[in-house]
Amino acid sequence: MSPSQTLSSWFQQSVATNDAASGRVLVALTFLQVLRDVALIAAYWGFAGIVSEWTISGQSATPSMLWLTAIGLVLVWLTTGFSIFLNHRKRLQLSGALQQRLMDTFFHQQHALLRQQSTFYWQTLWQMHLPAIVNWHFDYRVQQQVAVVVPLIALVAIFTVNLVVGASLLITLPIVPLFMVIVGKGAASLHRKHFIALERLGRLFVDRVSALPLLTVFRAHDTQQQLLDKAGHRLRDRTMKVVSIAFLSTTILDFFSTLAVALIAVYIGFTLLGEFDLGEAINLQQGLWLLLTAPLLLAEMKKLGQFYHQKAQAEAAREALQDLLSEDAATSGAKGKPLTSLTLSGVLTTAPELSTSGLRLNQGDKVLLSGASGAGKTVLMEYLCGQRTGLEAPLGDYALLTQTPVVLPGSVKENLTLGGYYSAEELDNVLDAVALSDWVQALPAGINTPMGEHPPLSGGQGQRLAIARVLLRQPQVWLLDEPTAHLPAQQHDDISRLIRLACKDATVIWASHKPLPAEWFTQHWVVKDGDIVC
Amino acid sequence: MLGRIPFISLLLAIIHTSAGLLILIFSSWFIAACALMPANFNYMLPAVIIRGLALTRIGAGYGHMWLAHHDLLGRTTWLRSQLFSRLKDKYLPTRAGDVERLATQTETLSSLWVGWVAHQASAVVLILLSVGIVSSLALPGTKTMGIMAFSWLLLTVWLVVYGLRTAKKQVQEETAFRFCSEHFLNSSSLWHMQLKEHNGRFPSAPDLRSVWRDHQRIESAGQWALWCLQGLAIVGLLTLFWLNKNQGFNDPTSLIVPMLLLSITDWLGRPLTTAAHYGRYRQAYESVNQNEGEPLPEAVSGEAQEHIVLKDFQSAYLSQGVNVRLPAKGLVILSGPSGCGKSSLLLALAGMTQAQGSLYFDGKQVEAGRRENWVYVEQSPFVLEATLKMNLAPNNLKLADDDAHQALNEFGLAHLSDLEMWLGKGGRRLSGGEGRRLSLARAWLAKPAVWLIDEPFEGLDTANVEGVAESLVTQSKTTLVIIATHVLPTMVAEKAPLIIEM
Repeated sequence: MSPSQTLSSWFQQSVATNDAASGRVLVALTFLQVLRDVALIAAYWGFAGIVSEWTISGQSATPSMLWLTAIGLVLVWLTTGFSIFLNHRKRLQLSGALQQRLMDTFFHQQHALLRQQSTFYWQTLWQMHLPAIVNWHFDYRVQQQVAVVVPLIALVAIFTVNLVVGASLLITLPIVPLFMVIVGKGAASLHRKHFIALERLGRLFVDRVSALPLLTVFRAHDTQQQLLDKAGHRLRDRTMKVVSIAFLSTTILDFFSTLAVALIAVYIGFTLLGEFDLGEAINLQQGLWLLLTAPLLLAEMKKLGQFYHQKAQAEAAREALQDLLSEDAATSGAKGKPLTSLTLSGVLTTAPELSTSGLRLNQGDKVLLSGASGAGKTVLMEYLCGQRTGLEAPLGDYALLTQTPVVLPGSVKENLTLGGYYSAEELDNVLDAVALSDWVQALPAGINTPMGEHPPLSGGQGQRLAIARVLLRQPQVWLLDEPTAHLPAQQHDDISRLIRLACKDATVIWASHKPLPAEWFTQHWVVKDGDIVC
Repeated sequence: MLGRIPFISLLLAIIHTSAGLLILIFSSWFIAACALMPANFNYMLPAVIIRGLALTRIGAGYGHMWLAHHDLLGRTTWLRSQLFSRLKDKYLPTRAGDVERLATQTETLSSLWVGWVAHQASAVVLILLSVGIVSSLALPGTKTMGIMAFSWLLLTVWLVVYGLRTAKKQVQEETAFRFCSEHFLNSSSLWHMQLKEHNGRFPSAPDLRSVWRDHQRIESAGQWALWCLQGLAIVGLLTLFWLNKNQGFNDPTSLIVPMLLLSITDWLGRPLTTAAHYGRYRQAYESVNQNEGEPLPEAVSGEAQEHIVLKDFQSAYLSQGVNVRLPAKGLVILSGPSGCGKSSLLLALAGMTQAQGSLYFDGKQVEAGRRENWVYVEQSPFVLEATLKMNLAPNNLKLADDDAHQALNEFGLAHLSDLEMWLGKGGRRLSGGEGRRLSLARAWLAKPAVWLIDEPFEGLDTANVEGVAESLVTQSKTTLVIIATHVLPTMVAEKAPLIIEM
């Protein structure tokens, strides 16, 4: 993604592919809103006609004007209802589709992607950034079109009714795009400054609340509270000085639209009285209609200003989402296949780059993978199992064991089966193999004891459970990413021996910092600065 | 909790919207009056009034915007300040992102006035004003206006009730999502196995669609309500035109009701579309107020001169207590694998968690709690988003520079010479080892009688382990230094008379 790419083109290229966000919906929504405004202009004509018949001629409404008003207003009502309906329906559909895209990307890149950021980061992405894109797409983008089309239509209509008012509005028309820029820029800078102020205030608050224990130990609560208050007020005063100017841009638009109504009213009134004569005759129907229609020139633009924060939020969302929503990110991976032998050479994957002058992995190999942390051991494993791009036929039947064992809040049994079906005997066997049988029996409900938020396991027990989980599946390839890294020396020895026994029939790639007996392995690969040497 | 009412800002908001409606109604009346041209029609005054209304609207709009933002920022600070002071000496159990959410919720709550009350108050004033004027002039369509006002009231009440219910449900679903997604995202290293069990699908993946649907419902409820009111206004308007045979003819005021009905979406649009948001403010209010935190043990006084004895002493959350006799001065090591209760014991001694068992100073039983001269240094050091100096003495704004430099020097941080250096979020500008040594320097400045230090050597290179060990050994000559650690530098092991295996 190039940094200069606009939000819209990013959206079209990497999100709106394959009918995820059909352009037709956008056109339909714009059309409905324009149609509504056109119907409104027509209804205004009928309305002005009836009122003028009432007041000037003292007659009841003529059927033609009554019909015009009725049809116009009913059309306004129907288009409004239909666009609310369509907007909401499509909005939920797109939200669902984007969530699905994100999940596809998650399931494709798995731990290789997820381990790069915190849980909170991914939650924010999911909860805040996805809806921000959807809101921007359906509100801001539609309004952007409407704000251009409707003023033009209104202007043409005004011109046909009254040349003087039309001409004076036409003179101001070139100012309209200027307004768009002013309102856009003004709203953007206002939003940015206000946002920065709130963000700073929030960050300081979050920082101090997170450090509550520290403040208690050092009796610093009151001092810090005073500082927070002072910072809040100082920031407010400073921000208000800056935004006072930014508010003017919104006020300018308000100024023109309000004044336009006032001046048109006065002009029409005086012309009707005969005080003014600019060569254009006018009657009450025309006058009233002009009064009602003129605000439409700026009303849609004012509405665009209200949606401006959506654009800013969508920009932030794009920043975070980058190409996570594109279909490539989710589906480029080929189907995994069973390993017989695998030859690797050249540049394997980029960002971070990993290359080798030549490696060969045969079925049943036991490979010791060593290298400094950050050299690319984990990247190699992620590459082999297809969580990173590059390998055409990634490993199909593999299991990955990481440094930190994951224990789900469900029962011990659910932790082992992960929702699949295994017999009680199989489960007993693997628990036996990792020497957890006694521990399970001591639990209140045995194998059905839920692990909950804080599982009653030590680090070593957790890793044993993780090994049992893999053992149950008998995968063809074991990828071991420093499974003993966080364990003391004694446990490292025990668990390493356990792993060796468990995976004796499989192909194994074992990354380790800590010493392992050389006779356990058939190959030794060393990773250094992204280069793998056999 | 909601604080001072921003009267002026509210008043300006009401003036702003009222002037907008008045200008439209008055202008149309003016045009009609001009067209009728009664004999002694004074046209100059209405023309001035129209322009005056226009300027009033613009001025009130700007004033409201300014005051509302001013109020919003000040109110946010005030709400947080209230919350922060309630959390003094409390423990706040949180999950990932909870504190950030608290910050957002105070922000939401402080926008109640500008985002909700101002709109609803304007609607009330406009409704009263228009019904009042229409009925006092006995204009055609008075009944219609009455029906509109009543319908508005019904719709608003329904929206508020609906908003309250839906927002509550949405918050519950969001909480469930956070819980579910936290486990889901944390278990990404298991996905490859889980997906295989279910043929590439994930049976219980978290799903936000119901949360979004509820969010959408709150939004669309307001829009549909407005749509209903608009439909009613159209029916009212057409009926008025249809049925009216001769009432109000030749009178320019008779167009007031039709104008009000025609422009109903302009003046009741914002109030109706925002009415259901009340539920969100309510939810924010509740979650800000619910966050009381859990109280920590009381502050207690008294120091040991000779020795400290622990009998079955431990954090209240662990089963087995510790029995040991500690000197009042010296070096004590708690060792053992992770998870054996070293940290809990330190926390219990520091009074940062509820304790069980009993504690004796020089043979006299004393209460467990927070002691002024006991300093606890946590395993993952807190670094405030502040200057280096503030981090060294968070309770003392008048720390002398010499003392600060001396403290930094003591723990091998002499290279951090700029005391005004901004350390950034979580001490981004520092390495992990520097953060740890900073927390020790902070404790040193507090001049404690007892040091309770959790894993001070983790993440330090050999040279720094030596340096820190030497400083702590020096401290142990005049104070009691209790260190929980699973790595034991030889120098410390040699100097420590008491090593407690846990």
